[in-house]
Amino acid sequence: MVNAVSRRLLKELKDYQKERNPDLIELSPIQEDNILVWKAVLRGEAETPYEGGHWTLRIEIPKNYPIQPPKMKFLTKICHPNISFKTGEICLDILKAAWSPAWTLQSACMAIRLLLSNPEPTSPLNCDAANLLRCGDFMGYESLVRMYTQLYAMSQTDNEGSA
Amino acid sequence: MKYTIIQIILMDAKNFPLLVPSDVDEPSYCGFITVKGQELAFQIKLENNSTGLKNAKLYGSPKLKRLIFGHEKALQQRLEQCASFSEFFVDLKDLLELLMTKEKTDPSPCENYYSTLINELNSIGWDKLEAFNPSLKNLSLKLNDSSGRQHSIFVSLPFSYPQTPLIVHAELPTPSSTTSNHMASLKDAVSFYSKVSLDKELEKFQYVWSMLDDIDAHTWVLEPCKPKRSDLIRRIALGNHCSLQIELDASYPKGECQYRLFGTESLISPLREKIIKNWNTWLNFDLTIRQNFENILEITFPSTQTISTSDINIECGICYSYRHEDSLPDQSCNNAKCGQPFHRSCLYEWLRSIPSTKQSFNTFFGNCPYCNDAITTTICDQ
Repeated sequence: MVNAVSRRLLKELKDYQKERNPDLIELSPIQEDNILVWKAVLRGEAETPYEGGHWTLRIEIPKNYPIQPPKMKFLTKICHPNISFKTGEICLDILKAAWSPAWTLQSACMAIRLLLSNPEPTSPLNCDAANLLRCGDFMGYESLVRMYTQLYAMSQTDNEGSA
Repeated sequence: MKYTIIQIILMDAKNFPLLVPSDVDEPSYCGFITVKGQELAFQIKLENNSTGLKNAKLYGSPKLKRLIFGHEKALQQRLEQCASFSEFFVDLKDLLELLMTKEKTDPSPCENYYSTLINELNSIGWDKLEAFNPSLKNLSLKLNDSSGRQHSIFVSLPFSYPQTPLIVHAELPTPSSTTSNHMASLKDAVSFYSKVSLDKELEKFQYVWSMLDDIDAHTWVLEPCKPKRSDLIRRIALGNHCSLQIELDASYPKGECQYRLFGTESLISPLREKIIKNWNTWLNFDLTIRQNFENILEITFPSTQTISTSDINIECGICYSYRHEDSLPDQSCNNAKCGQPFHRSCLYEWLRSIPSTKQSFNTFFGNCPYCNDAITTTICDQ
């Protein structure tokens, strides 16, 4: 079974490398000898408070992928109603009950990127961010998000680049 | 420096009593290593002015050399890594013990095994030799039949040859001919299969082979990926995830052949209707089976020259591969716009994992992972 999983993952990697996605700066296994742990780097969407930020995600792939969804979490701190500020855990239906084998790691990453600009404040993992949205304080929400983007998502990529 | 090494050796004298320094000027030591009651001579030469075992060279008797054949690299690595003599000797001893037990299980060939083999190859002609494996246990010969088709004859040589006969088989489409035959010599094997050809045994299959060659040349054969002479089944790509499987009958090649269509029901049912409607027009034996099928289906089979792999795309939508545990995608979504093919086992695994899937006897009712239309599959035997 592991063999079938690696075959599919290798094909996904090839597809990503064949057609580079400007919004997904990186998508590859972290170590050469373990294809079940991947790293992805998302670029924040323009004209959103996430603009200019780069977020690193860790992707753990279960042995019975794609029957089971991959486990994804943010390594870079991010302020978003549906993402835990502390652990980076993501609350997104396609990573849970709405998963289907038709999704790929790349399309799941793009779905997460879309979630950033389309938050769902009714099922929050970050109550502070969600409460601002629920109260209708969009200005406050946007400036909070922009602050954390500048604080973590811009400096960290610089550090990574120089390291 | 020399003094310390001698010290080490003296210390290890208990474990390796047969090792002595052999040269006063050069740091080199020779002796015997005892493995399974056998004493193997060897010599180890150290580099001047070097304290460790790095760049040390190991020499051995022919017997030792033969034993470690193929393991030199690993041994050299150990030599460089080992911190002390004793460590390396223990490793060497372990390796030799392992190799010796292995050697015992491999019986060596008969006295005149190789000379007989060479003589025989000389007599049948070396041009007939197609391939052989390094141990010379298996080899294949090539023969041409009356229509110029090349056939391979596979020979396995027992180590007791020529006392025991050779086991010879060829790939022919009938079960009786593919079973192995015992032959006294290679010459017999060649003459047997050449005689078979003269006896019209091979001739019998010429028609089937020409039909299959025509299919292989003009269509995109999905299965088998490397057709053998004994394969009578061909799975042909039709495009849009659909394929046609044809099975010829070696004994009645001109009779009706078995066929099966794979793919989305909405695309396949018109083809099936055409087959039912046009089947009785299959009268023209001047045409090949491929041409007859093209006439009946009123299509031209796409060939490797006319289309690219992406158009064929009959990979399973779940595991992304074509072949999975020896099965091919034989289920597909019935939505004409989707038509995504799946392996039965992959689709079964997916539907089984979804709580909303309904089961009635051995059929599972669920939704296509791609278009969410209703899809069904049956339980996999595995």
